[in-house]
Amino acid sequence: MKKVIIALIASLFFYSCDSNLSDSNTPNSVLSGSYANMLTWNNFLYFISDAELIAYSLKDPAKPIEIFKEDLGFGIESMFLRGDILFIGSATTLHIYRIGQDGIPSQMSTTAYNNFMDMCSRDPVVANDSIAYVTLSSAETNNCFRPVENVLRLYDINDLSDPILINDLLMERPKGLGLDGDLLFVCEANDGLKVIDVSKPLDIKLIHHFDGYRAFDVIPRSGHLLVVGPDSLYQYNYTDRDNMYLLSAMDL
Amino acid sequence: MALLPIFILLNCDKPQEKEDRVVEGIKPVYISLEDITYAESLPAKDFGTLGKIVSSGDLIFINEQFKGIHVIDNTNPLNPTNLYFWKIPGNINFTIKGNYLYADNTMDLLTIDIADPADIKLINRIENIHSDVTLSLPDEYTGFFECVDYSKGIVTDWERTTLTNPKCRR
Repeated sequence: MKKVIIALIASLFFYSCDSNLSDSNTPNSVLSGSYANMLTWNNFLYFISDAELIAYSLKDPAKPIEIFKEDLGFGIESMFLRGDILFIGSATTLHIYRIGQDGIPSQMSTTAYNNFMDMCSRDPVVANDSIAYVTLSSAETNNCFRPVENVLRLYDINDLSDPILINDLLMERPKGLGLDGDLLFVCEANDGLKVIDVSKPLDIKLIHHFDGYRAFDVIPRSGHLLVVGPDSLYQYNYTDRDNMYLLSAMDL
Repeated sequence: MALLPIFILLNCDKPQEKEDRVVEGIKPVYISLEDITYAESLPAKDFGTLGKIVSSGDLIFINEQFKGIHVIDNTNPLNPTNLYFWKIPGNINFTIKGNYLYADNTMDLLTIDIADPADIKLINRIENIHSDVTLSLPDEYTGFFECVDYSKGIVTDWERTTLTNPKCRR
């Protein structure tokens, strides 16, 4: 009995360790930018189209088998996984699902951004255990009938069934974003990369702004940041957050 | 510029207005269905319109919308090098698990064996996984477009054009 309890405690410990680690701390894992529409979790594959969430079993990894399909509305944009919690950003709504051991996602909440149902915005999401970070931004094309809010929003997700907007920060035109510990990396479409200290969610601080290039999406991996734009791949070392520096810039 | 479509849309309700509506938009470029059921490794090539990114070990994968995936060797982040281009017509979304690449080509879900990145192989294809026409639109595009006719094949690109009475928009 004692052994079982120890094993249970140990597994709890490992489990919580795992879920507290940002994904970027596992150098060999597959990491996706925040605009991902396809992700794997255990032996399952998740795919979002413009309107649907589809799950596949990868029991035979060569031959995915569909196990779940759900209509999500419209304007579905991006997907982010943290442990077994699946975040889906659309133009208008933040969807949160918990994935069961059978791979089937069940909805925890849908939170409207109340940004006037604007089909023009494009809105990825990343999260840790307590806060979800969403960027809302205007699209590049000119068919929007009204100005679109350009903003970073912070939602308290301690209760996954009831996310609460707790803070926001005006941006130029925020795109992809990535989180590693207390650092949030946000692409500004035409104005490079912003690095924000989010250690205090109610008092977030811009600590770096690397300007002068176009940035679309980021992948942080334990001290090493990839920033991709339409023209270039920028890489930074951020092991010392106060002395973050450029490693290389590759023309694409 | 933004006022013009509003004006035109307002006028749509009047049945007596029969004048053609001519607007700027985009139209699809197709690749025939016979040509899409493959994936192949090619030498590194110049980059076009880029999309989703994935990082795995020392490799970086960057999608070129509707064309395939650029593979970059990032063993030395001070000097990343362009390694291969995986030609996957119609591809926008992808992820990687082990030796398998899962990729869409607009309507299908492909499994591609990437154990040898110099010689990738398509090993499975699930047809018509969803019915989303808009998924094949360029990222970020909002506006009028020529409706997609899948009998003509898979959309591999879009070009700017002038459209008369377009029925589709996003």
